[in-house]
Amino acid sequence: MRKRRSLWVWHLPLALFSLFMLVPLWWMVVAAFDPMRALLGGHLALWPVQWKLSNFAAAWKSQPFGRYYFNSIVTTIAIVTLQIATSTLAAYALVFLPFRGKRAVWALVLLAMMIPIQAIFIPDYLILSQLNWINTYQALILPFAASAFGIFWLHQAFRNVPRALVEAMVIDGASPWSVLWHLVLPNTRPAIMTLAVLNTVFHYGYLFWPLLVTNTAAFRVLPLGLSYFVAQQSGFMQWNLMMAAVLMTVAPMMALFGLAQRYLRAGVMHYGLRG
Amino acid sequence: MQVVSETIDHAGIRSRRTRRPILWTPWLMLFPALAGISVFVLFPTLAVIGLSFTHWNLLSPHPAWNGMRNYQSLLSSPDFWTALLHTGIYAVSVAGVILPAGFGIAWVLNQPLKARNAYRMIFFLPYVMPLAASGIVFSGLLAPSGGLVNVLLGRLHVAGPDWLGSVHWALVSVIAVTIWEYLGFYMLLFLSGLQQLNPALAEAASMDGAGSWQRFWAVIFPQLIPTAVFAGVMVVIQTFQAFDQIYVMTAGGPVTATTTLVYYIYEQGFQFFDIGRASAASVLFVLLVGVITLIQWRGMRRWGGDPS
Repeated sequence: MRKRRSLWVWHLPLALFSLFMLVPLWWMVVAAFDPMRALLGGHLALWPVQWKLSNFAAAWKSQPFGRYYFNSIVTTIAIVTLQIATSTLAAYALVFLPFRGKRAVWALVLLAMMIPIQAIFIPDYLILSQLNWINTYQALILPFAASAFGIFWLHQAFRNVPRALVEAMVIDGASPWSVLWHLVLPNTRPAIMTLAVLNTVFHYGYLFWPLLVTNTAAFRVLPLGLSYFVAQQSGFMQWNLMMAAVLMTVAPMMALFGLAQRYLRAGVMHYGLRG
Repeated sequence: MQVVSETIDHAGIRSRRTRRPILWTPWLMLFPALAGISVFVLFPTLAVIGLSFTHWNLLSPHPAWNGMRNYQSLLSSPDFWTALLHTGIYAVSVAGVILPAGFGIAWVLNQPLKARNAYRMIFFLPYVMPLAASGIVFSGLLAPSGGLVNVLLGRLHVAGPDWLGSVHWALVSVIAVTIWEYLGFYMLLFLSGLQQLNPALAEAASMDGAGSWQRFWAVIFPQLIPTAVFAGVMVVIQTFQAFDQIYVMTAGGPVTATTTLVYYIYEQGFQFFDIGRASAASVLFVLLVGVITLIQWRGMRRWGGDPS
C-alpha cells in the first residue's frame, strides 16, 4: 500500500522527460508555421507568432514534393508487399514442408541476416548499374523484395501454429497452398501485421539506398528530397520552409503511428522476447 | 520440452499419385526469397570479398588484381583508424546512455503508474520519424544563432557553440539525435524483458528477508541479462550502420569529425571511386559486425539459460 502511494513521485521526472522528448517535435510544428523573421529574432519559438500556411505552399513548390510522395508511397508499399509474400512462402516451406537441404537453406538465411547492406552496397550498386537500372523503381524496390529477417521473423511465428490443425488439414487432402492461405495466415495475422508496420517505418524513412541508386528528382523519395532541400539552402537557412517540408514528410508516419502503434509496440516487445 | 516433430511428412500422408508435385512445392515456395537473397546479399558478399583484392576506379573496364595492398594501405591509413575510432565512440556513447536510460524508464513504466501508457507512447513516438527528418529537426534546434538550444543557453548567459560546425561538438550532436530516435525502442525491449520476469522468485526472496536492493541484484537482474545482452548488441549494430542522420546533419564533417566506418566506405566508393579500397573496408566492417554477433551468441548461451 505504502509503495503504491509513493508512485506519484515519478510523475515529475517522467513529465520533464516527456517534455524533453516532445520539444523537438513541437519545435518542428511551430517552425513550420512561423514566419521566418520570428525564428531569427532569438525568441524562444515555443509558439508561432502567427499560424501561417504559406510555408507549406512555398516548400511544396520549391521541390517536386508531389512526385516524392508518389515515389515514397509506391516504393514502400511495393517493398512491404513483396517482402511479406516472399517471406511467407519461404517460412512456410521451412516450417511445414519436408525437403532435403533444409538445414543448408536455414543456414544461408541466418548468414544473410548477419550481413548489413552498408557492407555490400558497392556490388549491389554495380549489379543494378550493369542492368541499367539506376534511376528506376526496380532499383529502389527489388533489393528489398526478399529479406532474411522477414523469413526469420515469420519462421518464429509459424512455429506457433498448432501442428495438429495443420496435420488435420493435410489428411483431409488440403494442398500446402491451401493450408498456408486458410490456416497459417489467418492464425499469424498479428506477426505479419507487425512485420508490415516495422518495415513500412523503416523503408519509408530510408535515405541511404535511394541516395545510391537515384540521381534525378523523378525517382527521389521523401527523405532524399528533404536532404536536397537542405542542400539547396546553402548559406541562408529558411528553417520555417524546411520544417514545413519535414512535417509533410513525417505526417504519414505520425498517422501510421496513431493507427498502428499497437502493432508497432507489440512488435518491438516481441522482438525482445526473441532475445 | 520440444517434442513436436520438425515437419509433417506430406508425401507420407498423401497418395502416391501426388508425390511429384509435393517434392517440388518447397523449392517453388523458397524460390522467390532465395533468389532475392542470393542476388542482393549472398553473391554481393562474395563479390565484395573479391573486389577487396583488386584495384578499380570504375573508369578502367575491369578490376585489376591488387593482392593485399588495399588492406595494407587501409590499415596504415590514419583516416581509416579515425573512422574506426569515431564508430567506436559513437556506438559506446549511444549504448552508454540508451541502455541504462531505456532500462530505468522501462522499470518505472512497469510499475502500476497512472498514465503509463501515455508516457510509453510519447517516448516511443520519435522511432517513427525518418532519421533524415530527425536529423534536419536537430540541425534546426542546434543552429548556431536562432536555434532553440543556443537561445536557451543564451538566457543562461552561456555562449552556445556552432554545434554541427565544431569538430568537438558535431559527433555529440549526431549522438544526441540517435539517442532521441531510439530511446523508446530500447525502453520497449526492456519492458518486454521485465514483463517476462518470474514474480514468484522475487516474492520468495522477500519472504527470505531480502531487501529491495538485494532483491534487484540477486534475483531480478540475473533474469534480465539475456535482454540486456540482446539490447546491447542491437544498439551496437544499429549505430555501426548509421548513415542517414550523419548524411543530412554533417556529411561526415567538419573535416572528418563525424566520419564513421560506413560513411568512410561510402566516401571511398561513391566520392573517390576507389572500389577496391571501399570493398576492403567493407570486408573489415562485416568481420567486425560478425565478431560482435558471435560474442552475442556466446553471451546468450552463457547467461541466457536458467538463472539458477
